[in-house]
Amino acid sequence: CTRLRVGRGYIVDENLVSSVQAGVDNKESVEATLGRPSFVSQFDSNQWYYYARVTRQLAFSSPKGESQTLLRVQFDNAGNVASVSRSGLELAANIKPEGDKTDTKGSDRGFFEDLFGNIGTVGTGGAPQ
Amino acid sequence: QQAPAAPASATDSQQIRSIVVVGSQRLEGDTVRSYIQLREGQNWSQVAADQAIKDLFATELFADVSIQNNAGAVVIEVKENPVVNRIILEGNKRVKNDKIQPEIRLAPRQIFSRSKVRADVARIIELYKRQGRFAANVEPKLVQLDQNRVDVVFEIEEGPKSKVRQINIIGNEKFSDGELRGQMLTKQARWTKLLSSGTSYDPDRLAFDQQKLRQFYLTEGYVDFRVVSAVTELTPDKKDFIITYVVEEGDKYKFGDVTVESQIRDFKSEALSANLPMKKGEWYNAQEVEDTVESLSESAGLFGYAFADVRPQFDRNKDDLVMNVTFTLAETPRVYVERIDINGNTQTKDKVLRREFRLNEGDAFNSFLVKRSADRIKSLGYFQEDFEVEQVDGSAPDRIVLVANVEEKPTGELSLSAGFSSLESFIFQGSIRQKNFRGMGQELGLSMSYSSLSKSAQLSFTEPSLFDRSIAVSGSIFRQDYDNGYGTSSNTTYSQTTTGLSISAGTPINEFLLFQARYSLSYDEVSLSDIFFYDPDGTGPLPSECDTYQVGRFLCEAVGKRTTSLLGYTFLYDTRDSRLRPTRGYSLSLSQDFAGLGGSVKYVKTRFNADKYWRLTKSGFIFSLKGEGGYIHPLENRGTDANGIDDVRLTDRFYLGEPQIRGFDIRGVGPRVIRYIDVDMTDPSSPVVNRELGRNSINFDDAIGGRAYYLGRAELEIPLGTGASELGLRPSLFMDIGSVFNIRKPILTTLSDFLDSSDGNYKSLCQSSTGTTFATRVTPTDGSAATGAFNICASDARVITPREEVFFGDSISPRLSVGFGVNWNSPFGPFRIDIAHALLKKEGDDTKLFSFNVGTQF
Amino acid sequence: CATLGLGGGGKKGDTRYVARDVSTLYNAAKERLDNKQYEVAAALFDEVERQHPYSPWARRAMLMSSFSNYMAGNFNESIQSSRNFLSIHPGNKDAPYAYYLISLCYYEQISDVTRDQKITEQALAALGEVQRRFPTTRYAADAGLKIDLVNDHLAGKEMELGRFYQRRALWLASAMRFRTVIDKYDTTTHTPEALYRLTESYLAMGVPDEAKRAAAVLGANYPGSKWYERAYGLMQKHAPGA
Repeated sequence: CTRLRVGRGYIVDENLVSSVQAGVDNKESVEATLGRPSFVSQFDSNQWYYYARVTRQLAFSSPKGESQTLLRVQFDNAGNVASVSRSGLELAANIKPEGDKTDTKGSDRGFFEDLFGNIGTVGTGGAPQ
Repeated sequence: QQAPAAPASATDSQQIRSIVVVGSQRLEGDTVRSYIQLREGQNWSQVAADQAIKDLFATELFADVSIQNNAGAVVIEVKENPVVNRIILEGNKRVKNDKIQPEIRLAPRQIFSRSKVRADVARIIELYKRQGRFAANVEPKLVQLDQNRVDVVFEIEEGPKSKVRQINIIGNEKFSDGELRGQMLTKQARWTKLLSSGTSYDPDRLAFDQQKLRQFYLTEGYVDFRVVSAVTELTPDKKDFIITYVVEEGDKYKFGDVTVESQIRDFKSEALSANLPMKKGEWYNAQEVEDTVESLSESAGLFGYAFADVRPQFDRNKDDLVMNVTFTLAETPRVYVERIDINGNTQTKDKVLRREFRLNEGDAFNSFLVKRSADRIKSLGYFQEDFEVEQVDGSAPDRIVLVANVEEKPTGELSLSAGFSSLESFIFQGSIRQKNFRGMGQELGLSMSYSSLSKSAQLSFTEPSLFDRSIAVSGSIFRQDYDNGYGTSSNTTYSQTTTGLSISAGTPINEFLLFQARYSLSYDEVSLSDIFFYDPDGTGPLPSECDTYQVGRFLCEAVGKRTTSLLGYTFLYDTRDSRLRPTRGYSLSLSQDFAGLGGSVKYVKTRFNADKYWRLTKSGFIFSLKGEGGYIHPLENRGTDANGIDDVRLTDRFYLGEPQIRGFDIRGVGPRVIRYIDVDMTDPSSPVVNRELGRNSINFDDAIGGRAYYLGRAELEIPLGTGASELGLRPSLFMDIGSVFNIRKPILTTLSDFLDSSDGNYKSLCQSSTGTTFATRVTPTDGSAATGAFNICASDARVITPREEVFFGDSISPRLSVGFGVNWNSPFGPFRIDIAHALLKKEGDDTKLFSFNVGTQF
Repeated sequence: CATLGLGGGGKKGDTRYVARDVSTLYNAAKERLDNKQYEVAAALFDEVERQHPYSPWARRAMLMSSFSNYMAGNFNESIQSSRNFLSIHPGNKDAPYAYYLISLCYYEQISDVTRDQKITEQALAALGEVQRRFPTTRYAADAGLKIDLVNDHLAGKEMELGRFYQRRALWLASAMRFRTVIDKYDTTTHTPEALYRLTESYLAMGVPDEAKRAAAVLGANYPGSKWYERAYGLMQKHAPGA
């Protein structure tokens, strides 16, 4: 049966992406051609990332990466493009998120309050099928 | 406002030495001072004083303010606004207090102010306008109380309710007045429209009606349509209104050349303009243009062009009445979704909404996917009808934030309903259902129904997406007692109680194909009332047996307890536009059940089901074709031709009759055994069998079902005039065809079992612990020849009168019925009536001309 | 100022409270409040204010009614009467208490992280106002404490959304959510876990050196935490070279 193919994140336009060269472009020109990055590195504002991934999902299994283009544009302090590197799916790891979590407070609703809490506002029942 | 009475002081430039507040009872001095700019040490000026007075009045706390400055000592004299003690409504007969009270902002203990009272008066008049009473008038009155308190009294004169008595339309040749009135929301006041509020006069609804008229004509191709004037006059008796529209229809246009022009670099437009729905020369239709815009942006979205924006350009050729349309596909700036915010979900959990979104944070913005997400959230049924996903600008020019503001509807439902149907006579149903249990989108329901034929209770639970994956899991525990009451009607006489549980999991394979797997474990008990049991040795050790003469071997064989443990799956392909009242699309489903995973029953049941809907013309004829079929293949051989027992149990076989195939009684089609007990034995050599069936005959007609069945149904729903369809009447013509067949012929009792070959007479049988003998007959003492029936047995024996069982109806040839039915959503509940005549039937089938079903909710 | 029994304006709307002089009414309300009949106490305090709006007791009654409603759990009525009090007596010495009571009303209604956090934001705003208007009062100190808890709660919501996206393998979306926790709520208890989750998401997105930096920051600030051990383990397993 057919798999569900979905494109996530940035829409890659081949000739636009290849037009960005080191030493030629700077932050303004990159932003004009490629648009703003998917995200800027948290720890180094001169690193821009364009993240695009096509995932494949069969029925209820979790979507697997089918192909990916990750464009990393490194700027020097003057704001000119120092290096442009592309990577595919090979660096992506298969991660199972950790189950444990830090707990939060806030009044959680009791079981019966859930079931009947809302019954007071009786809606008009559907026609008896 | 009184003019501020501030007398000019001696010298304007004198310094303020002190500010004293006089006359404030409730407010403290420094509170009043905190509202104005005047401070000690400032220079006194008239302008500053006026400003201070303006500030104090702005607080709406004071009825009157005055400022004096005698040589630097500034005295501010205030008179505070009274406090509201009570609010009283008088003269409101039609609109009750609890309707007006929430509209009033002024409340006890608040500060009275004229502007608040004026606002409340306007709100009350607006309330009456919505009720259609335009002559309503509200007069506020104040009652002074001590301690500067006041009671506010609203004196209301409601005035007459003004209705729309007549709507005239002038200038319309192409469409009748009735058809045009059907498009409008405002209706003419007629006795049939007692309940509907559409007949009250409402000016903003009139504006909306004009728009509806324009839209109707555009869809019909009249591009130059114009509403020249819309005049409303009072009727001579000043109670109601008459509305007159003057319209100018113009001419009907045709489509000229219709093309798609794509400005997106590598998006070929020839393919798109080829399959446009409208062709050159067809009548112009604005609705079709709108649908095409939507489908074009849809296909652009599907091809991953998230930033395509479709805009139609029209150029009108007046002389040969042709409209050329070009759809331009423009590239919009690349925008990405920065964040999705969900507000207002106080009951529902955030993820229940978030998992419905077809695009996520960081993805490219795609209006088609946003619309699909909004549709999916709306179909959850927990939120307001007009839910839309709003778009708010993000933190950067090419970022957008999607905001879903939801208002939660009550999702708990408590419905009690009673009904009467020819099938099960009186039916009472009650159900309690929470469609959004624990805010997790889960559904928990308990439903019970009671009728003379069957009593059932079911507890069901559904989790639409297990572990946030797209797996819908549901489970239910059910108990059903089906007993048809011996002798009250002519169908089967056994009773069956089923108790069981079932769990199922479904997941979408792709946009239209759904796969579902299920397991169900049920415990059945088929029993007969004990009068059918016969204890061969009286109170002896032998248990009583099922009396095959009374009930027939095939029923005796069915009595007993059994467990069915079955595993099944279903493929459902469904492109219908709605599940409740489909008008377009089709659905196919194939399902198989394997019983035999443990349990005492082993078979494979395969069922196939398909239906397709067409909307014939624009006028609303809906034609539907349905097809169904099924076959059970037993995996155990319980019987042989010799003992007449079929491998498939009586309760697992297929049955056909009302309501699946109309024109026949319940289980009225297919294999059956008719037991003629009414046999006249006066002439023992040739007994006369009375073959009459029905209510007042003691003969039995027991359907025994079949291993295979097929069923077809063609139905045409006829649209009625606007008046009738507004009442919810939906008549339809239908034709049902089908049959159930393929069952092993059971062993039957025939008259020959009662033939005493010795003297060629048919005699009753005497059954006792010693055995079965022929009955004798009384021999008259005067020696004349004995006449009369042989029906005398020994005292301890049981008399079995001669009877005959005949097997009918096991044939594949189709039964056909045609008929006419009406569906009506009456104010007190859905009502369905069917009149169907069986054209083709087999001997033994029970036909039924008329059946109806009415349900009420309260 | 025991004014004599005032006749008052004849019959009241709700006949239960016959017009009585202010001190008996006030004491009746006070007595009800003491033996925990909060709803009746609130109604009686309202009566004091309605029948004798200009007595000094009226001012006190407004606050007491607001407090009684708060104790009875009718938070909206309590907020309403506190706001009434503040609109008439903004400069009063009890104003800080009124603001503080409003913030408590919102604080009590904060629902769990999976649901709408509008009330939480209102609580944050009200607590902030108490701290800003009356920094020196003891209410401001308690408000400060509660603000940290509320921020922790809002961070919890962002974490919940981040984990939701992780479960659906939408790594970019999850990374953005965890970064908001670090940018806006870095002093809350969720920061270590947020940094760990970032390591997970960056690794899954195929950006190992971002993951390494996130783990490094986690190690520097929270060396002993279980989250750092897990982050360190992940880095060894998936990107030893980076």
